[in-house]
Amino acid sequence: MSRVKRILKELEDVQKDTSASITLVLVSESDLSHLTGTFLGPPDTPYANGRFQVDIHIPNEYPFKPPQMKFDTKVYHPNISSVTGAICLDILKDAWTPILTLKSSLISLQSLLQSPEPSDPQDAEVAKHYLSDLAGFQKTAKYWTEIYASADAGKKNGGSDSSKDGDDAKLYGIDEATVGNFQNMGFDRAKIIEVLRRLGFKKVESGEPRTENKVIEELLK
Amino acid sequence: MPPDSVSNEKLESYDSDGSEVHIDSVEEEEEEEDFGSFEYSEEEEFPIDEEEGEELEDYDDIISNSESQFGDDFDIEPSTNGTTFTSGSSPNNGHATTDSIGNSRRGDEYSYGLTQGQFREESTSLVNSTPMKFKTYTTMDLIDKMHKQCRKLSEILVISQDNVINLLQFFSWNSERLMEDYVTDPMKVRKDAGLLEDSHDLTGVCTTYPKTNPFSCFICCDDKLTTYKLACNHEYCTDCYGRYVEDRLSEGRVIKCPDCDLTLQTRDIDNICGEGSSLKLLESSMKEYVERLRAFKWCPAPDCKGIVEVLNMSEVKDLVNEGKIPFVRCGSEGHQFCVSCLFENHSPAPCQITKNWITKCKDDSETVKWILTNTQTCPRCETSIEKNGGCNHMTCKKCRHEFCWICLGDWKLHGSSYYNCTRTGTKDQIITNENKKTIASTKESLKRYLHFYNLFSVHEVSTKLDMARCSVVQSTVRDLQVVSGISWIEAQFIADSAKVLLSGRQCLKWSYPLAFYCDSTPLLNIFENVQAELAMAVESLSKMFEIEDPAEIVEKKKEFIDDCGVVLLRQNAVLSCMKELLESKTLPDEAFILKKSVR
Repeated sequence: MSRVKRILKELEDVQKDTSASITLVLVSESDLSHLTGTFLGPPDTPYANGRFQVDIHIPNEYPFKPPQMKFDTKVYHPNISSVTGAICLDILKDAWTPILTLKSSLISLQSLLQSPEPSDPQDAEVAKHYLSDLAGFQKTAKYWTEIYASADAGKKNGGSDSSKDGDDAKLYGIDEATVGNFQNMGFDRAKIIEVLRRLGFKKVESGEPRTENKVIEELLK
Repeated sequence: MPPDSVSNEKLESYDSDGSEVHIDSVEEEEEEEDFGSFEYSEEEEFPIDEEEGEELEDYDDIISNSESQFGDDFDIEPSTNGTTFTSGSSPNNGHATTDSIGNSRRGDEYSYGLTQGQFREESTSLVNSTPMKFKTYTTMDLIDKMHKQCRKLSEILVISQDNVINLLQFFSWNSERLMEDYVTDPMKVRKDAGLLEDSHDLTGVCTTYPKTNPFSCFICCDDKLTTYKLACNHEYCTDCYGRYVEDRLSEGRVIKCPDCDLTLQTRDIDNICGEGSSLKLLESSMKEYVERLRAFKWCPAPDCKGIVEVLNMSEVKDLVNEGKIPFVRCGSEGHQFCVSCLFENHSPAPCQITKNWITKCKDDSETVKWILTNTQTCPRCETSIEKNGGCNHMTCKKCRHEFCWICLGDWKLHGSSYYNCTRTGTKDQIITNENKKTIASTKESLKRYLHFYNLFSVHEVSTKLDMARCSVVQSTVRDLQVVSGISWIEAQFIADSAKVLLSGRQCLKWSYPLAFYCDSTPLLNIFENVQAELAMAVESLSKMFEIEDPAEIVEKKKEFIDDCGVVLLRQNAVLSCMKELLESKTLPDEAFILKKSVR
């Protein structure tokens, strides 16, 4: 029974805290093991002004076993899967101890956004982007925050991606000029982005005929 | 005492033990000459506990004598806790046998040798499996060893033993690194490992609260009466603390206070989780300890906790390259395993083949198992057919062949016996015919693999059944001994036969991967014939073990012994044929083996 008592106490604590940078609610009143938490993106990062939603499942062994958390909001971050929202964070795995709480875990996620660990990535592609082109990475992460985590992102998540030309390239952190170059050669925009993503290129300089040829080769297939 | 008389005495003592020695005469002759007077002592299994003192003297004699006889074939290894000597490779057949005597308290002494009781099955398998020099340990032995290491370090570093255990666990039992780091900056090491800065270690405090003023535990949010806290004053109820510690006992690492980096001492763990709990932690950290020591190997047999220290680790690579199997035998139950593959002794298949075979089986076995259990091949066009319901009268969609699902025979011959298939044995016929076909297409190659995999797994299953059966038979015979007064010696043939059966089965099992990787040549044909003969002999002996009535078993003693003889003979034949196969380069080289895949 200690688990129930503890979860209720934690809920109460978070709800008492009025600063509102963190929220925690039950998904359904009858089920204490499934919660939703949100927190604000840390200021001075590409995630600033975003509100990130986290899906929380509490195992039966809680608080001796860590809660299972994953992002509901799409995040562009080396330690978070850009596809599933899975999180790579030690305290949610073997570094968990029973004195940690849901609140402290959410705060840890907040600080994870602030200080990524690209050497221990969850999303290898994003980590590569982070390490090779920090400015490009930040641009993409900011763009993701805008379209997925901004105040009115909830309803925008689904269809808005392709509404504006340039969105898809930006979404995958692909250099707009590079896409333009290939478009000038007469290739289809969607195909160019698909190929560049598959090959893992964010940017192809015109001074690199080798990479350019490789992309063209793929495009012609 | 001259070695001659020692050995003769041994021989006599064995004879009076009544072990059946005549069966092993199979290969005796050719070795006798080379070993000369030394032979028996090499075959001797040294009694360890009872006659230690005397034995040691005797063997010292033998060593000095044999040294003069064989020169550098023997080397004596100085050992702190006993005398270890090895009788090296005999000049003619290149296999090494290792014996060691000792009186160590830990590091349980073993003696590896050819015993009369084991017949000659060891010797036959020695064609390509080479016993290593080794020492066996139990988990308790290792814990003693770990404690000893802690004592030593505690003296050197002038810190308490409890602290040393914590530090070693923190350093994953890398004592060199611990020493180095500790000498450079003891404070930093202590801090990193979560030990208090001063050397005197404080144990945590257990507090009992009055009912009127209970303790509110942060972890469970309940009011509790007993609590525990370390010097850091982070206090939790004993239930939560206990659960917290217990969860971590099996991880083999230092356990820290839930809220800070302070490490729990051995005594804290015992206080919280009960006496002896810290031992559990030590046991689990042994995994890292053993992995750190490259020469130490866990016995790969399921649930076996035996540990073996290989004394001549450096030779393993060469042996493997020569196609020999470096094997040891674990102390607790005598499991034989290959040090290189960490797999059961896979004689006659060399390590490389075994590795390929096992990877292959792992990759394909799920598919193969599905195919094997869910489909049959059409007896005419050999398409795999899955039966999804209905009667056993099958019509192949591809070639319109009508056949019986159960016996795969032509349906026309079945007449009116629709649902009761009476024709048995046809399936076996098909498999043996397949044997002779040459392999060409990929489909054929899959079939070929399936065929060998099937044989291999059949014998693997049989091995388990044989083991179970052998122990049942042995216990019934033991019961009979009590009732009818047959002497232990007279019943010993059962144990010996069981060993022969299991080793024959194992040899048979591992000969299939070997055959699988061989190119089809006349030599392979011969090999397969010899293999088939061994299979027959093994099955026949296995059948003997099916006899329920213990009295009948004792009556059939002679048949048992004869069957054993046949198994050993044929096992020998398989092994020597295998040797020829390996030497004749019928076996594709490594790269080829790796490329050869089912699909």
